[in-house]
Amino acid sequence: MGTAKQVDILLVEDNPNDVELTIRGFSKYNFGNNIEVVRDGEEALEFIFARGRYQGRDILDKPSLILLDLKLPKVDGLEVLKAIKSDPRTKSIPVVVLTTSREESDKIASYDLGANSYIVKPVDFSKFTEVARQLGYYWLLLNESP
Amino acid sequence: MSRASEFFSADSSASLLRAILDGLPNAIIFALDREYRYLAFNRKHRSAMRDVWNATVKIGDSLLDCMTMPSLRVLAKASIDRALAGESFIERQEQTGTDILYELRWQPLYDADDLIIGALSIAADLTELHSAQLKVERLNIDLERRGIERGALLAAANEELESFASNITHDLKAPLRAISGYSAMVLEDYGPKLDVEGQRKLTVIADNAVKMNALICDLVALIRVGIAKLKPVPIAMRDMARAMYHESASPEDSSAIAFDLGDIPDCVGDPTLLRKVWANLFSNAIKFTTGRPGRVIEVLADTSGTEIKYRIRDNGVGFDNRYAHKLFKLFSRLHSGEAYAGAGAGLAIVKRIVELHGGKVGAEMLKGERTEFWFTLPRTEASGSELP
Repeated sequence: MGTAKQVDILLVEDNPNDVELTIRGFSKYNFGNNIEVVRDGEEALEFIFARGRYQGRDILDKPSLILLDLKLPKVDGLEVLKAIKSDPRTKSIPVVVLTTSREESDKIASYDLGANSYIVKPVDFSKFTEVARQLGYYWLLLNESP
Repeated sequence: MSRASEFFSADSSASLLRAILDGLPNAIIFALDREYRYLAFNRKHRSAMRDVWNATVKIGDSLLDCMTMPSLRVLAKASIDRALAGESFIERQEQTGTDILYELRWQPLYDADDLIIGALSIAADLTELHSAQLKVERLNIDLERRGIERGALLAAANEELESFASNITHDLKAPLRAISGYSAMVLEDYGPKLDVEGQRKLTVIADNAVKMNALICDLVALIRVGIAKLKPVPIAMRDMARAMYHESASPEDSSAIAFDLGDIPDCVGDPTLLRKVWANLFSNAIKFTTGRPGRVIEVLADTSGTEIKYRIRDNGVGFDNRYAHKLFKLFSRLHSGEAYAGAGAGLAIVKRIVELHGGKVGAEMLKGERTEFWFTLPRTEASGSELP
């Protein structure tokens, strides 16, 4: 399958504006070249577990980072997180929950399910790009995956 | 004539007595001699005997002969015999198959020489009382059930409010993020093509999105506090105040402010909520002393018999005492938005939390340009002690 595309970041986000802002933020610091976008939880699971629309993708071709919104159509973010973290093939992929929810219960549930980080999307764009810069720098450059 | 019948007929007030006995509502009265024969009865007893036994009773007739059901006759005879033996007692009689309930008071009848000459029975018809009692019991059960239903309704309403709060967070913030982000992108991509005024106006749009965001955050925080359930535990208040001050103050603030934390007493309260109280009061004090010389923030407390009053003082811009009452109202601000950040919900949140704990809040300008915000918490056993 020589055509397999290198994916650095899997962005699970249904809001097209947020998708554009996130890609913009990462691109600003040159982390945006290999971002794959999926629009709902179901598609996210299909990508991660290489099935359905992503049949034939190699499941071991893991993204370096998954950015996960919690409020998603079809399968919600916490369920996606649970599926990733309870499968030995995928549980080592860093998952950063990137959401609007400041709710304590969402934070606790995310960390309980094995989220690597929990970040509230800033409204202020300059802060948003700063988040993208730091995430890219840490998870794509500094962090060593197994 | 027996001594007993003499006793009754000889009484000169017999007709008065008879009128009284006949006139008593709900009372069935009869007197028997030692051979179970009627010495006297009132009108209600006569009609009861007619209704129940189809018997027309006369003075001198035996009560037992009128009772045609042997089992009941045995029971009646036993009660009469107890009274004839000198016993005064009360028995309850429920008529099977009906709601009718009697309370019978039995007592012996004595003559002038204290010899027992018969038995007296005064029966009160408790049917109505009894049914009223049953009704009260039913109403109580009903009321209790309604209380439970109301509690469930309240819980459902709170749950709805909670999901409303998280939905407005999500649904209102996404468009704000787009407004802020796309304005910034226009500035970045097309900035050189815009003149200074065009750039300024775009910046105003982005800034307002950020302000709107602060409003939403505060509103949601207030809703959450509004439906919060208190989980009170003993709190080391001095430690909490110190931690919250350092959380609220930036390094620049810390180095510029003389923070004087007095020996304030502990209390009992909800730690998550009380942290918000300190955080809001400290960030106000920090905000309103910013840029002023010799910034001071002071925390002290005094204890009365029933409550602890915590005071946070600063030497910031302060306010006009005439408007002090407006400070704790939602979104009311005494300073223009340009000069100081914040949406104006912080003190409303403080007030709500303190009131939830059974305390009060207030603010006043003291002499020497000091601003004081205070809140009280009720004193409990665990909160009275001083820190070691």
